[in-house]
Amino acid sequence: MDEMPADNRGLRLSVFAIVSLSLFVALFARLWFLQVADRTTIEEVAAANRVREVQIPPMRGRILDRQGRVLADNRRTLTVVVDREVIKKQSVREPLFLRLAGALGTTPEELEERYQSDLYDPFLPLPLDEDVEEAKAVYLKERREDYPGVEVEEGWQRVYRFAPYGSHIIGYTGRIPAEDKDEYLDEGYLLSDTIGRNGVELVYEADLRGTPGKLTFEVDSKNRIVRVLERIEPTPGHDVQLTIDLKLQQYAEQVLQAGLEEARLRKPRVELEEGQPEPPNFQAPAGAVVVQDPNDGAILAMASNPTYDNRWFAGGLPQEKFKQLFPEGPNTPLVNRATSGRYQLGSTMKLFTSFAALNSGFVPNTNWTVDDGGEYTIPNCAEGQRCTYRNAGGAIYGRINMPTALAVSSDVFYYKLGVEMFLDPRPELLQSEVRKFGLGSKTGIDLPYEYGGIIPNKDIKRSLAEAGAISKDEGRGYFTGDNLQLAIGQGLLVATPLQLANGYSTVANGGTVWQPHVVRAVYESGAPDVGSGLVSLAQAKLVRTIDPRRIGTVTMDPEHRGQILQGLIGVMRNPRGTAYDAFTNYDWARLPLAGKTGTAQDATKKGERDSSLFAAFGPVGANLTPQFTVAAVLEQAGYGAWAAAPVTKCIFEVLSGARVASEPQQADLLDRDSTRAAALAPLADRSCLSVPYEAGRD
Amino acid sequence: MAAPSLAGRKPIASLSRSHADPTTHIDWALLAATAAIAALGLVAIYSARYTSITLAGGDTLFYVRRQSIAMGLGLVGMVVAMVVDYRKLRELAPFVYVATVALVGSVLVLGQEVNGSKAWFEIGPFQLQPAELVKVSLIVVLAAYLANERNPGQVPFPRFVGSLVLLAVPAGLVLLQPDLGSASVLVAITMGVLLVAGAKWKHIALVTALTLATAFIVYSTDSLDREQYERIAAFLDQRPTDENKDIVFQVRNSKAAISQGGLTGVGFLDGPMTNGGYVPENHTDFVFSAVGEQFGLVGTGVLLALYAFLALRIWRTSQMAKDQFGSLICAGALAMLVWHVFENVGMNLGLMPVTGIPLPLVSYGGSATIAFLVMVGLVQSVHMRRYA
Repeated sequence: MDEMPADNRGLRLSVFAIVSLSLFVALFARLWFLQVADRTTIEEVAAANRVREVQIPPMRGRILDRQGRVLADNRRTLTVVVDREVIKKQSVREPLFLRLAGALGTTPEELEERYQSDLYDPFLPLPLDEDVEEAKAVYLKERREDYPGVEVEEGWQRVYRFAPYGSHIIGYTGRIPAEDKDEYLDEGYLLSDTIGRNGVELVYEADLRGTPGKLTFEVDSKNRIVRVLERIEPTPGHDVQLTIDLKLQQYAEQVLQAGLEEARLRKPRVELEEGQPEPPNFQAPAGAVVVQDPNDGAILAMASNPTYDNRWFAGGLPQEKFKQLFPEGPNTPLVNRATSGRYQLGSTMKLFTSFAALNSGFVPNTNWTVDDGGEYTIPNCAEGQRCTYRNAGGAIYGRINMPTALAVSSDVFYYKLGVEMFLDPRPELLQSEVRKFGLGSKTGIDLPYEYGGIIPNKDIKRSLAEAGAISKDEGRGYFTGDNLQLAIGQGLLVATPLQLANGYSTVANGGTVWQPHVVRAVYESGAPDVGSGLVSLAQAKLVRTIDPRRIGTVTMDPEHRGQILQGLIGVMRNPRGTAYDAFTNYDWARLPLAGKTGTAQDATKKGERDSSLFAAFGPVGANLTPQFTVAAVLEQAGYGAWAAAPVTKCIFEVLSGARVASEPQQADLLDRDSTRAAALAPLADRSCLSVPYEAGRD
Repeated sequence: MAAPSLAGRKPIASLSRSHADPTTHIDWALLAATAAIAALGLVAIYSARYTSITLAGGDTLFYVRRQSIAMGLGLVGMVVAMVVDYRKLRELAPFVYVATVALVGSVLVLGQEVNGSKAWFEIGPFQLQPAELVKVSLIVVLAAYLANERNPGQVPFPRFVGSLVLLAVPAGLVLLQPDLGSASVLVAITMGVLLVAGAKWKHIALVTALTLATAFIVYSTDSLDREQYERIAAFLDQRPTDENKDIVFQVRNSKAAISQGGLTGVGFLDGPMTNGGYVPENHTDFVFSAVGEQFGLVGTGVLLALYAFLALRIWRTSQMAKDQFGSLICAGALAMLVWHVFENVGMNLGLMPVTGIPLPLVSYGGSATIAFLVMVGLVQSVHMRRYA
């Protein structure tokens, strides 16, 4: 057939037409067959082809303490859910809820309320009862025919084994808050997911969460699972190891509580004039303690009081109960006062003021002296201003150098520094120097809701006046008197206990400002249990470690630093030192300390409103590297030497081994009828807390 | 002789216009069929996306609006193709061919990666898919290359091989994206043009055998892109596995949706499968299932009949064309249309493997819509100038 007609277009197009036509006929035949001859009804289609997918929640990573104690664990739970498609019609829903209410031990009204509520994901089966007993689940599964669309889903619930200790650090989990809904949904969460809401649970959510699995199954026309097509197992989240040692944490929380209780037995020491009423006892409503490793910023313990039991948040908490346990107001237990508490530093500030004066070259060396005659008058003081300031308690120290001024806590010495540094041509000299210790800005600790503090200056005073926190008149400008107050840690200065500890750590390690952190490392799940609530991290696979991060440096002349440490040692060892009496029984050979007292006055200047502060580090001495920094703040608890110093001392006795803290025990079941946010085990031995009433100033 | 000669009389119509005036020979039936299919397409896209957009709280007309914009652009292209004398394209053909092939080549380097294939250019809010344009340019270049006006109906062997080279370059690039579907369209176009150009039967048989052998070897030696392989594997063995379950369920649900449409359909926006989101991509490659479920055999029958009618008008133009070049353009267009419809509807019905080529003028997708409208314009241009 090689020889073709000259134009065979017609023939070729006919072939083409036949081919095309047969293709169309094939399609139409198939359509006829599918849609008419062998039509599947809607019911059959549903039975054969509906494919559904559900997420299988991953097991959340655990939170472990430094030793491997399992602080946050998981428990398998069963949740009864119902397919929303099935109960769309009220005529189906009502009788089903009526029958289910009996089986679940609830009322049809409550089930209807859940159905109407917008708290639950509209695309997912509606949860009817969380955390049901195995027996109930089996009962429902066996009577599938009676409960169409009802399924039992597996899930996880958080268990805090050593609660209430460490609650402020560990945090808690909960539902996705409405205001952050979109953010979480964007990251692939479901509305029904449980997420970290506070503490490490929140900050390390990405590590703890894990990867959800997926279940693909076919359902029939009544939405019952016909068969499972595929099951992709979830990947559990990573385990997070804290820098916290639970034994020390437990002791810190107990001793802080005991210290506050002791303070409530005391009154301020005032000389009463005739007819003047006795001052009331200290209220000591709250406080915080931070124990830190000054060589890398790691937090070893962090206590905040009043505290709470994070188990309250596992499973639902009725609104009423929440209000009863966590009343709003300044004394709410939910705030971590160590990172978010707003305090003046009192005389603990004098350490930073000393370095500010030395490092700016404002004073040549630590032998620079001031004649402390008990009071200080601002030179060229303007009319109508307060011009003369006295030492606390009216003390007179004579001619003193910087170490002595620290030991005895001379105000006059630091008044003079504050005023004269204010008059220096360099603007904000004191402020810029103390900022280097991390005051006035967030440390960036891996805990949420940190407060950054305030170092007052002209701008801050103006904005405070605009906000109505201080009077318009006061807000006019930043004056000599303001800097005088700043130098001794009073006035408008605000800092957190964490900043106080971190600043003292900077002096302890010779000038490095480390970023504080509570997490040490992240491990893959699967560290084996070795009993009594511990896992063996030696057998776990490390994902990453949280390396120390330097956030600042303060240059320190070693000679100056040595002299200042002498002053801080004198605080406790010099008979004129402010905390001498508080430390009388301390074993100096075991763990020699350097520290400073502070007493913060509030605006009322009433003695019973004085807050007690103390910060110290040790061991200090020739060829010794400080290993621990402890800072304590006890609100409205009196002189630094009365409340915060003994609490600090007790902790150092534990750190030195002179005192034995009790072993943490796994908690009993939470008493859900309790009206207290947390029940701490009382401290057995309070002997280290006792301080003579007559002792101590500042 | 008083009686005027009939031969000398001009027809009345030609007093004002020449008999050859192209505007008097527009194929209105072709345009009407095109418009009807496009209108059905908008309805289908709207219904397919309606429920999921409503649930997400979005604009239910979003896809319809974008598709309408593409249709508007395509209409401009169609009118241009009609106005220009197609014979001018003979000289332009090589340039258009080289330009579109270059676009297909550059998309491999510069393109946007979507679902694992690099087939799109991002142009502001729109995407351009060069593979759709190269289909039209291949039609024109093959028609120009094979039209042998002095000796019509003869394709010497060197020309035959040359046309296979013209096919191989864009087809190879499209396969690299990888886009098996578009490559199959290019093969169909070439076969159609060769058939009508008068290629020897034994050559056609040879190239058909070669294509099938290549396909078999490529598939059985596993040298295909993973996803493309799974699509064919899913077709050959319709049991779901971990790798191909998505495609298997997609086809299964598409068939189920069409099937339950029955004779008259379950009703507009009332398709439990379509509107329940059980058929993924049911506004693009699987839009036919949305038509089938909602409008039943009446709907699918009307749609297929419209395509058949469109094909018939193109076939008729190919027969009537004044020259072989015009005839071959229509042959290529016919092959492109028929293959698109057969492959797309076939995969919706489980007759063909899922290769992801759109249903002409119905599937959501701008580049393909524009390409088809330009193609209709070319056929129209041939039709209009059959006496000129």
